[in-house]
Amino acid sequence: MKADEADLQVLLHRTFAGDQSAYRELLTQLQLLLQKYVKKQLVQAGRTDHERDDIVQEALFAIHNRWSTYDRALPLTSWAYAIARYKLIDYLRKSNENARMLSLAEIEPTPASDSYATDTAITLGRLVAMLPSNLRQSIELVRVRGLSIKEASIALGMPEGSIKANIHRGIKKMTEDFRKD
Amino acid sequence: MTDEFIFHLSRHPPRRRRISPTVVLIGVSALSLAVASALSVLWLSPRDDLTAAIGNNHVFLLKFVFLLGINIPAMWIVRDLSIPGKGIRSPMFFGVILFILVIGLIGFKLANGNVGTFHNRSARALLECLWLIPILAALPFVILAGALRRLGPTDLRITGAFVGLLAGGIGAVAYALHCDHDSLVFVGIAYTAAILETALLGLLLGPRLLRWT
Repeated sequence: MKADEADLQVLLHRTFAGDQSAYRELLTQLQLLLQKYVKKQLVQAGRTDHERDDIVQEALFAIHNRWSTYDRALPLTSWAYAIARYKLIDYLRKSNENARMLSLAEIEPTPASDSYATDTAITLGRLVAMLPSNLRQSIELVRVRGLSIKEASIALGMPEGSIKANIHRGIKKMTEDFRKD
Repeated sequence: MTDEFIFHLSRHPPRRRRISPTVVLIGVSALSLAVASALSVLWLSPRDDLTAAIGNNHVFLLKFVFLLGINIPAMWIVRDLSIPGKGIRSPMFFGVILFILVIGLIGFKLANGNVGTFHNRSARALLECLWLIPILAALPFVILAGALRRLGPTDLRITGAFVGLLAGGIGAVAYALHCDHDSLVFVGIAYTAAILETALLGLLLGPRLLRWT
C-alpha cells in the first residue's frame, strides 16, 4: 500500500526510537516513491529506465547517511525527492560520455506538494506519533489504515470497546498536545 | 537486490539526536574565522593602533558591523542550501541586504560631511584588498566546503557562490584586523568587491568542490 506523508512521519518517529522494522518499512515506502519519480525523469531525458534501480539505490544510501540534514518542518517526501534529483543528475552527468553539463533546470523539479495539506499531514503524523503505543495503534489501524473496529480488535487482540475507548482518548490527547504546541 | 540493500540499511536506524546543519555551520564558521584571523595576525600583522581602535574608533567597529551584516545572512542561506528540498526562500533577500548595507554606509559618511577622497593610497589599498581578502578566504572556503560535502547541498553552483561569499566575509573580518584604512566609502567599495570576487570563485568551483562525499 502506498504511504502518504502522515504514514511516513509515523514510521520516521518509530525509526528514531530505534525500531528497525519501521525503518525498513520507511525505506521501502521511499523506494516506491523514488522509483516512480526517477523512471519518469529517465524517460524524459531519453534514457532507458533500466538504470532506475541503481539511481534509487544511490539515493536511498544518501538518505541513510544524511538524516542529520532532514528538517522536520519540511515534508519528508520533499527532502527525499530532492536527494533523488541530485543523485539522478549526478548519475546522468557521470554516465554521459559527451559530458554535456546538465543543469538542474533540465530535470523536472521535485513534485510540488500542497503546502497546507502537507503541513496538516506532518502535524497529524507527529501528534499520532507522540501517543502512547496502545492509543497510537488503535488510531493508526482504524483512522489511518481504514480498518473496521472489529478488524482492529482482531489485529490487536483487544475487545472492540477498548479500541473505541483508545480512539476517543487518543484524539482527546492529540487535541491537548496540539493546543500545547 | 534493493530489498537486500534496504534490509542491510535498516539494521542501523538513524538516531534522533544528531548534530544539525545549523550547529555544524556555526562551528565551522567559527573555526574558519579563527584560522583566517591567525593567518592575518601572523602573516600580515595587526594594525599598529588595533587596541586603541577597538576602544575608541567607531568607524573601525562599523566595519565589523558591516561584515557581520554580510556574514550572518550568508551563513543562514548556506545553512538552508545545505538541506535538501529547503532551498533559499528568497535569493534576492541577500542582495537587498547587501545593497542596503553599502548604501547605508556611504549615506552615513555623506551625512557626516566628509566624503573623503579616493586618492592614490586608497587605490593601492583597494588593489591590496582585492587579492589579500581572497587569499585569507581560501582556508575558510576549504573548511566550509569540507563541511558542506558532508551535508546535502543539491544546487552546487548557487551553494558554491554563497560559500564563497561567506568565506570572503570571514576573510574580510580577518583582513580588517590588519587594514588601517577606515574610510567607510572605501570599506563599502573595496571590501564588497573583494567579497563578491570570492563569491564568483565559489560559483565557478562549487560544482567540483561541493560534490557529496
